Amino acid sequence: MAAALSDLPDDLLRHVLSLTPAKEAASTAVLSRRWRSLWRTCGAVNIDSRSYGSSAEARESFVRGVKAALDASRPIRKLTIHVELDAETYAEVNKRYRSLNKPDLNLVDAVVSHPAARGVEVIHVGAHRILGFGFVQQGFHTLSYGALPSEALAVLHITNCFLRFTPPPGTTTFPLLAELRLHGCSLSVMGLQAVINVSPKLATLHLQHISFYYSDDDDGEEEEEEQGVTCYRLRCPSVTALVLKNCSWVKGCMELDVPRLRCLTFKGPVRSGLVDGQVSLKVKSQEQLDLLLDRVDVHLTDDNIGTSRSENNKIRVPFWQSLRNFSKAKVLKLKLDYPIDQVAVVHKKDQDHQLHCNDAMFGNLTRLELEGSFVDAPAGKVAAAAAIANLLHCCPVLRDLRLNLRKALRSPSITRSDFRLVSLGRARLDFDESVEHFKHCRRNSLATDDGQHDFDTYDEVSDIPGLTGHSFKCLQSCLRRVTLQLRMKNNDPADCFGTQLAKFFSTDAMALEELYIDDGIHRICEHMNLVKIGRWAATNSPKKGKPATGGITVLPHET
Amino acid sequence: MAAPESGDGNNGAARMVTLISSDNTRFEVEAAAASLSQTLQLTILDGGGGGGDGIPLPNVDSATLSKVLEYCIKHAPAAANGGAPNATAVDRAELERFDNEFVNIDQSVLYSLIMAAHNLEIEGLQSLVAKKVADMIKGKSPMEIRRTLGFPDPTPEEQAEMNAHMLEYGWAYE
Repeated sequence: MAAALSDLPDDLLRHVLSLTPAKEAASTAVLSRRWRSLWRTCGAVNIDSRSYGSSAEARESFVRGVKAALDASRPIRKLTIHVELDAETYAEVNKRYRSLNKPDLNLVDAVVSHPAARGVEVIHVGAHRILGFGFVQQGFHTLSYGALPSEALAVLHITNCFLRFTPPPGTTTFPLLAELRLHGCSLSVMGLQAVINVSPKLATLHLQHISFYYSDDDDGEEEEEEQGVTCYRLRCPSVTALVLKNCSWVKGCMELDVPRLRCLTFKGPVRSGLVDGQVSLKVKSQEQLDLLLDRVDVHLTDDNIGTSRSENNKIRVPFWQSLRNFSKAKVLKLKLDYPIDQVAVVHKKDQDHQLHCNDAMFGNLTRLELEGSFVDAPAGKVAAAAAIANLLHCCPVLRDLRLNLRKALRSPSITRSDFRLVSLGRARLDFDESVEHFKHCRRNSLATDDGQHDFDTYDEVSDIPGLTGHSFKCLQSCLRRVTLQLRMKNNDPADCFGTQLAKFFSTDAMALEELYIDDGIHRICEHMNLVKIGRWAATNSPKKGKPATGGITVLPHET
Repeated sequence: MAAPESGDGNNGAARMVTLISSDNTRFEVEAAAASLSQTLQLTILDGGGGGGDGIPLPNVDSATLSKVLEYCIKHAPAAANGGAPNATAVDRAELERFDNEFVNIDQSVLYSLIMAAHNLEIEGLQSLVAKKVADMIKGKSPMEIRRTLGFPDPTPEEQAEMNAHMLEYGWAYE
C-alpha cells in the first residue's frame, strides 16, 4: 500500500497539482527530478492572487507569475482565476500604469486569451473587490467576449466581473458550451443574448445577482412596448435548466423565452403588471413548456413591506398569474417570504378570475412543497388554511405534500368580511359544497373562536374552517404522504394550527399512508400518537367510506 | 406485499455485499454504499458480492478499506437521491462537516486513500483527498512545501539543480 507521496503514480500527483494554485504548483518543480515537469502537464492552471501579497509590487510579480505559468503550461483543459483587489491597491495599481495598458486590471482577458488556453474546456473566474469586514463586491476586472477561447469551452462560471459581451465582428461561436453561470456580474442583455445565440448546446443557464444594463449598442429589434414599459425578451432555445435569482434589469422589463425548460429556479419578487427593473416570470412558448417542465422551485421575496390590505392584490394576483406558467410541472416548491394568507383567494368571483376555477390547473403535479408563515390568530389561520385549500384544489393528482410553516409577526391580510365568509363556509372552495358541509363548518368555527383548549383534551382539537369538510380530488384518492413542519413552543395550546392540520389530513386524506410531523419539540407526535390519529381516522372512515385497513404511519419528521 | 425474492437485486435498498481486503478481512456493506465505486458497481449489478462469495480487493488493505467504506456509507443516501435537487442545506452542511473531519488524518492514510479511491473509482473521494493534499501545499513557500510533503533536505547536488531551476522560474519563488 502507498504510504508515501512518492509511491503515487504521476497521474495522481498531477491531479493534486491541478487543484493547487499556480505559484505553489510551480514551486513543486524543485522537489525532485520526477516533479520537475508534473505541474506543467497537470492540465490545469489556477491563477490566484492570494499566493502573492496585496501591495502594488506584489501585484506586479503576480502578473509576471501568471504569464510565466501560462507560458510553461500545456495543454490546459481547466483554467481558474481568482483575483482579489482592495480599493487602495486598485488606486495604486491604476497610478502606476498611466498608459491604457494596465496588466493587472486587464488580467482576466489576458489569461483567457493566452494561446495556451485555446483548448480550455472549463473556465472559472472570480474577480472580487475586497471591502473589508469580509464583504466582497463586483471587482474591477472586465471580461470580454472576444477574449474567451471558444472551440472547446464547455463550462463557463464567472463571478463578480463586468462583462463586455458585445460580440466582436466575425463569427466566434461556442459549439460545446453547455453550462453558463454568472454570479454578481453586470452585463448588457444583448450581450448575453449574443452569447446564447452562438451556443447551440447551452443547457444550463444560471444567473444570480445580475444587473442587466441597457447598452446604446443594443438595437431595438427585440423590444416591445407593453403597458408603456419597454419589454426585452431573452430567448434561450436550448436551455433546459434555468436559475434566475435576485436579478435586476434597469430599463423596462425582461421576459424569458425558454421553450425546452425542464427545471426552473426563481428567486425574486412577483409584482403585478410590468414594472421597470423587474425580471418577469412570464415564460413564453407556453404549449411546449407545458409538455416538459419537471421541477419548479420558486422563492418569492417580499419587497412589498408596508403594503396595505387594500393593495393586497399586488401579491395575490401576480402570484396566481405566475403559477399558471408552471401548470404542467411535476414538482413545485414554493417559498414565500410573507404570510401565506396573502395569496388566499376566498371569493368565488376571484377564484374564477385568478385561479380560473380550474381544479386541474396543476394536472401533473405530484409533489408540492410550501414554505411560508401564518399569522397565529383565528383569522390568520383561517386565511392560511384557505391558501392551502386553494392550492390543494388545483392539484388533483398530488401524492406528496410538504408544509413548512412558521408563525408570522404580521397581522393577517384577510378582511373581516372575508373571515366570516370562510369561517361560515360560504366561500366556495370546492364544487361539492353542501348544506351538510355548511352546518359542519359552522359548528367547527364556533370551536375555533373560543381559542384555548385544555392541553390533554386532544379530542377537542378543532377542525379548520376552510379546509375541513371540503373535498379535494387529491384527498380522495392520491395523497399518500404529508409532511408537516410547524415550529411549536412549549406554551402553545394543544389546539394549535399544527395539530389542526395533522387532524385534518389524518381524517380527510383517504389514501394517506404516511404523516410526518416535525414541530421542533416533538409534541404533536408525542401526544398525537398513533391511537389518537387512528381514532380520528376511524371515526371518520364509516361516513367517508375509508377502508378499515387504511392505517396511517405517523412519524417524527427527521430534520 | 411480499418481499421480492433474492434474485431481484436491482432495487438494492437493503441488499448487502461482502468486500474482502488484501489482508483477508471481510466487510459487509449495503450494495448502495459499495456502488459508489464505479469499479464495484458493475460487479454488484451483475449480482456479485452477495452470499458467501465476497469481492476480493487485493489492492486495498483493511485499514484503508474501512476508511473508504466510512465515506461511502455517509455519501450513499445523497448519491442515491441523484445529488443536489432533493438535498436540503442542512444535509449538505452535514456532509461538508463530515468531509472536513474525514480528511483530517495522517498523511500516510491520506495517500493510501488516494490510491484506493483511484483504484475503486470513487469520484467524490478522489476529489476530496486530492483537494486535501492540494490544500496542504497552498499558501506555503517552496521550503515549507518540501517539509510538509516529507521530502528530505536537498543534497548539495540537488541544491545546485534547484538554484538553476529557481533562476529559470523565479516568479514562483518571489
